[in-house]
Amino acid sequence: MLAVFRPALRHSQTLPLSFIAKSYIPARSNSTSPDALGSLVASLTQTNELPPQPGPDGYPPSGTLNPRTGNNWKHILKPFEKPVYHLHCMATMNNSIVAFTKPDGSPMYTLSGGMCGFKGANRSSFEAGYQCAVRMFKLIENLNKSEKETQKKHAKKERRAEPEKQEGDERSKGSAFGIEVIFKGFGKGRDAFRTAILAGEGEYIRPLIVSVGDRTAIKIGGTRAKKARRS
Amino acid sequence: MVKAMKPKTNPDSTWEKHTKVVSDELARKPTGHAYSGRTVKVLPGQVYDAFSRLDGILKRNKVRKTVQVQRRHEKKGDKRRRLESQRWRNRFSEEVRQRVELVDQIRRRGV
Repeated sequence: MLAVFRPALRHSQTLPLSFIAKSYIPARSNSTSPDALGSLVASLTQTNELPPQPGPDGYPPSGTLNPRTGNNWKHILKPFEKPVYHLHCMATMNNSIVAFTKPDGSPMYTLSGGMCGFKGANRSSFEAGYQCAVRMFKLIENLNKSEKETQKKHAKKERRAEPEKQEGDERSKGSAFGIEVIFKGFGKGRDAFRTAILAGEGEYIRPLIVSVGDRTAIKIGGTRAKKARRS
Repeated sequence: MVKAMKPKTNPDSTWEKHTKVVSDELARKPTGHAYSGRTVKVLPGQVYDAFSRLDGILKRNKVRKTVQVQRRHEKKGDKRRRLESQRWRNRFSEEVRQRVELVDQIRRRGV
């Protein structure tokens, strides 16, 4: 059986007041309209039986959670219309692997430390991770540009007069897709990848990033690991 | 004779209404997976902040430490000694924190 979902009440709704005020309304009152309630509350406030009311500007708008930073989180709830591709960065003790997958998870491009010309122990170094990242960004850039071209062609074919103004995420308008960056492992390649994104090489990629996550596997109980090296 | 109660609403329309409510909520807040807690939404143009927030989550949940500890098997004696030492250090720091807070309180309200 489906349960009916009741969304949580927000600060802007004066819930406690209505609970309090309802107890003042006689049980057999015919007037249960909001106006009757409001006027009753106003009269009670004037006679100091109820505490002063917040009014329409009493509570901060539901968008600003922190008064200092005032980030408007409403746009996070806006849907990101374009598909979100995944950029997996696996940084182990022996190697760094970067994989770009479609939204369903099937891989499109894969690069590793060895493919960038580093061999043996150097595959897991910072430099190898950085070069993997840089090459991957180039591939992503080319893909995004080709996708935008095909989208433009489709739009021309359908002859849309003007794009409808949707309340979507602004980033979805500038590119063909979004990217979710997923880290795995804590090798040196992880730092290298992060640095590459935040540096000049990641200029094109940064505005496309929609979310960032970590998928390092953690055992809960699990199998016994190898014994300590110098025991 | 008791008359059978006629339902006032159509069950199909009720199902549709309920389905719409639930599916709208799901679209707005999709169900999470095992790694949802370690996923951070990026505000436009604030990639560095998102990385910092992710780092904070990992630090508070000791993810990196856990991975390191799980890499090699820790024998029962080593584990016991490590936990004993850690628990004592936590207890000690908590006691010191309480004393210092008490002193601050007394100072603030005036001796």
